[in-house]
Amino acid sequence: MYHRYLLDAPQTAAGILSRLAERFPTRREHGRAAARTYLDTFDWRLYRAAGTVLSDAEDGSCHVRWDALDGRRRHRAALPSPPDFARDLPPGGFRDELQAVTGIRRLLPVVRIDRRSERISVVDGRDKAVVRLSLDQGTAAGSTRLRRRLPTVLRLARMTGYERAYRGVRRFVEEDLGLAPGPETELDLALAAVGRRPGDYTGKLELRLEPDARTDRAVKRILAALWEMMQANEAGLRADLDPEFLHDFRVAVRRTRSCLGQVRDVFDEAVTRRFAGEFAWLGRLTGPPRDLDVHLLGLRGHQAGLPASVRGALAPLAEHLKSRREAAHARQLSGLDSARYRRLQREWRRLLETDADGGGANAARPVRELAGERIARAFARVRKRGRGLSAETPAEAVHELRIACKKLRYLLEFFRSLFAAARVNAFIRSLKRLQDDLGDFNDLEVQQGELQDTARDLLAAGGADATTLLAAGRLIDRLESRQAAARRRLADEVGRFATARTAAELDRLLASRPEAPDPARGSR
Amino acid sequence: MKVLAAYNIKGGVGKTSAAVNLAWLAAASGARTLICDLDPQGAATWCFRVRMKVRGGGRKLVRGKRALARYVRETDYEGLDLLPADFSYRHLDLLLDSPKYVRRLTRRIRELGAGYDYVFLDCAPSISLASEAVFTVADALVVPTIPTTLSRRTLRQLARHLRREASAVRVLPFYSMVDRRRTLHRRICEAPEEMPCPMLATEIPYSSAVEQMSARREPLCAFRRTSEAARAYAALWDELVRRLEQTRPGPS
Repeated sequence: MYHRYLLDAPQTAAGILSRLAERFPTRREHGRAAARTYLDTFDWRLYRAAGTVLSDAEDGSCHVRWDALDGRRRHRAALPSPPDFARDLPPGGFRDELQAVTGIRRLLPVVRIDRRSERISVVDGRDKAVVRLSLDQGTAAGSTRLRRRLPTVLRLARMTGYERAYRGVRRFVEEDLGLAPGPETELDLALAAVGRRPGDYTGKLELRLEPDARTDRAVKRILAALWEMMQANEAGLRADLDPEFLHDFRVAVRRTRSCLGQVRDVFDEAVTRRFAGEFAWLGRLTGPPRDLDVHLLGLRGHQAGLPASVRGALAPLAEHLKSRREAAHARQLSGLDSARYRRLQREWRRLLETDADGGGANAARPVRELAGERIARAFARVRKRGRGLSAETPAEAVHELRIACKKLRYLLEFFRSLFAAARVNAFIRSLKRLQDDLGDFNDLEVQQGELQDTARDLLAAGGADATTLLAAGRLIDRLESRQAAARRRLADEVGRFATARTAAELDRLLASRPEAPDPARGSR
Repeated sequence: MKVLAAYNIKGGVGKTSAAVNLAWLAAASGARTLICDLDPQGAATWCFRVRMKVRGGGRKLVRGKRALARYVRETDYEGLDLLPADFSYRHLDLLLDSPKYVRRLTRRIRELGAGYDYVFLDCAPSISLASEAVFTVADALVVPTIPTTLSRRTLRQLARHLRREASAVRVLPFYSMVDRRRTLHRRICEAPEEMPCPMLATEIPYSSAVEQMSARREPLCAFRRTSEAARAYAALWDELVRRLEQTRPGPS
């Protein structure tokens, strides 16, 4: 627990310390100079979980700590260097809990602070510290080298068991010194100094559309937000920082394709066809590395449940997949470096930035009207594909149902702001349960195929011995039985979702109006 | 959470020095650490400059209804908290007159420790009802042992007692206050096989710097990090961490 007070000018700092020393018995502690780096995942998972991980380089060592945003300490560890991933931490609570929040995402530097702290303690009659104070001055730097001066901050830290002393010092600081505590944390101040906003990236579409807006304008806003998402992820994808950059990039590509394909007759037909083709190409380009990512992550997950001996035997498979992944990534990079991709970027941006009429038959219709039609149609398709689904339905038909569900989901996400949020959220939750099962089923299907292909490749290349092949067989068996279980669950879920009752819920959703926007939240 | 008790039936063997310095090292490594001073002499409490007072004394420690967290004091070292001693702990055994209270004390320490990575218990010498609670709650007894015949004898008594009681606690003794100039110390240190249980490899040398801890009221590792004894404690901590990570050998 602590309080922070912003000081106007550095010269007041010395005055404050001397006034404190006149009023309380104090002890001067060693000053500290530290290069502090705040870390978070690209999508701010730590910040969203009300926490922050920072790494202090001090005296040649590196102290990594995880604090709650209110200053409560969660974990601390001394490491040789800042961790790239949660898995780089030594085994224990810190690693496990951090892993649960950050998952497979890399910890990236968000802002770097060079800080000097003058520290004093208020002490009791035993010369024991009862309140800690520090005066922090420093500069912050974001992704560039440009350094911004941070305001000087007086920080009071409460010590467990000495609450009364803390109250006394706090009262003195606020009443006698006339300082007011600020709500901003060090991270807030540093981010503001370098011009960043916490949570400035999210993989979710957060648009507020006007119900009566022309469809072509609304669709352009959706496509522009998706394009922004692709651009935001491109650098991380190229540098291969973690698998989620590619994932989010691909999701944005898929949503773009879905938008072009489903919200029909908005643009001129030739324009739609051309860009649909180009984004399909981008999808194909980024598909193979993503499939291999899924396979590698899946293999890691499935291995966990196997005996150690079998796990060891699967290592050559993982190695083989990794090398295929590297090759696929290289191919993907050359695609992204091609003239075709540059042209797509240029022309797509031009289309999104013009205010001209979209040119399609639906361009001028109010977006809410068209959105309702398209969503209803997409749901009808899900019902049709889901009808009669049983344990015997071929995998291709399940795959088609999965695609139909995905299209419905995307439409709901594009147009969610046109309807009552509570209804949309409830409907998406219900759809998501079905999608999760469909996803499981599909992943298990794909993984079995991939595993067979990899084993075959490895055998042909002379890189697999009998134990590896037997282990792969054992894993395929396991995946098969899990897939059978997934299919049983799936039949139940489809029975639950694709019903007249859900259709009635959808009707109510499409008839609903959004709540009045909250003025406290800006719109994008 | 791992609970380590600095324990020995004999007094004056370096229990408090071990508990205080190991706890400091644990906290310095980043672990959330608590040291519970269960010795009515309150030497660990003294070393951290904390007032030796627990409101309600031993009675509240053992039989109180409110969580022990309210008695905890943050020390001057980041990540290191202290549950101070109280002079009334000299009557702890009278309060532990039924197994119910021994169990309650164990439970209360465990509840308190839940928010920490390491809990160190600085125990009073002797073997008593309070020690029974320590044997139950601790994952390991870290036993400072002076390389003398009498110390070896008390270690044997302890090992025999734990065997008889079928206690699950691990015993991790180490040579403490070793003076290599003394023939007896040398002889005993060089014949670990004659000890009743396997000794840790690290020895803590006899050192006047350790004695200065009580005058300066700071852990040795905090004020003289590079001294021979401080380095020995650091090595002892590393060894302990390694040993605690190893799974316990099964019964032979």
